[in-house]
Amino acid sequence: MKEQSRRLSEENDVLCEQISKEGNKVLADMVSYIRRLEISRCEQEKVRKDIAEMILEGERRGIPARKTIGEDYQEFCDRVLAELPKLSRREKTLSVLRDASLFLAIWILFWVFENFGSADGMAQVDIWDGVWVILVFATGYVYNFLMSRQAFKKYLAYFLTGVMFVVVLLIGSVIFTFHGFELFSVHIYAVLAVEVMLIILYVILRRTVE
Amino acid sequence: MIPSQMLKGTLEGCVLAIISKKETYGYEISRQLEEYGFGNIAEGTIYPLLLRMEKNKFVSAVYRQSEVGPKRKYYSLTDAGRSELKDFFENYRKLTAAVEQLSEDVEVNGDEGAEQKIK
Repeated sequence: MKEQSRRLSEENDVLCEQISKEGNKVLADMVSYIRRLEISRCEQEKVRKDIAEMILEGERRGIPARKTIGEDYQEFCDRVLAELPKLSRREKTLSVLRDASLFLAIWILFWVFENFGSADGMAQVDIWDGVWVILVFATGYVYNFLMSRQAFKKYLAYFLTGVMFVVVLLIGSVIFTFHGFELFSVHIYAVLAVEVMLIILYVILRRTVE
Repeated sequence: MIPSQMLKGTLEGCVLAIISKKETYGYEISRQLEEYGFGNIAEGTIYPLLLRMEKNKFVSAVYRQSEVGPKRKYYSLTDAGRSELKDFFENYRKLTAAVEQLSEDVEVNGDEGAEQKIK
């Protein structure tokens, strides 16, 4: 399935190069709207391929995307979404875990550079570290959610995400001003072991989910 | 032009009927519907129906190269689709017969005729 998704994605990129700028914009908005947690990557790429071919064939006949798809892009996407197979709860949970493991693996690398300077190789993890990690991860999900749901109302999406980033940065500035309650101390080797485990977990989950 | 609300319930069956004639693709289905008098129906209206029919195994799809460039998804009817189409025509005939009867009654006898029929 992962191989199929990758192949489809590559084919779709080639297809998109043949579509006009206007057609590509329409396609990008629709793909963004359809990109949801409950729809598998493979299904998303299959639909992207169908729509891209539809738009391209229309353009070759001199028909703009608006006429090929219809005036209401969002209604079209809602009708398409209603027909696509949804991921099970287990698959959705595994997708979130996959994203979380990748996010944490990257986060830990930065955290190591920031916190490990002492000779004994120990660093402290306080409660704010935990809160900040969860907050940034959740922000990423909310950002994707907003950009998808508001794909046809870009200005609203930009406004809402802008407000969200300002709020998150304000919370972040408060978090970094105060020292939080220390949760535990950790040795750099333990952190590196966790890093390796997270990467392995991510690879396994990616293969399982996709 | 047939109102879209009226078309909604029957379009899926009509698309099945078009596909039953020969293996075909989205744009051609849209053009054929227009030729039959359904008006200009965008491919975007047909595509979700085709997805549903594919999901319900009424049609099978295969990609083939087209003469205008990109590959096309060609649809053909399955046995389940043939059976679904038969049911659709049966139900549609019942519906049209009922509507026809009501319409004749109202046209000939006015509103009273239809009321008497109910009694």
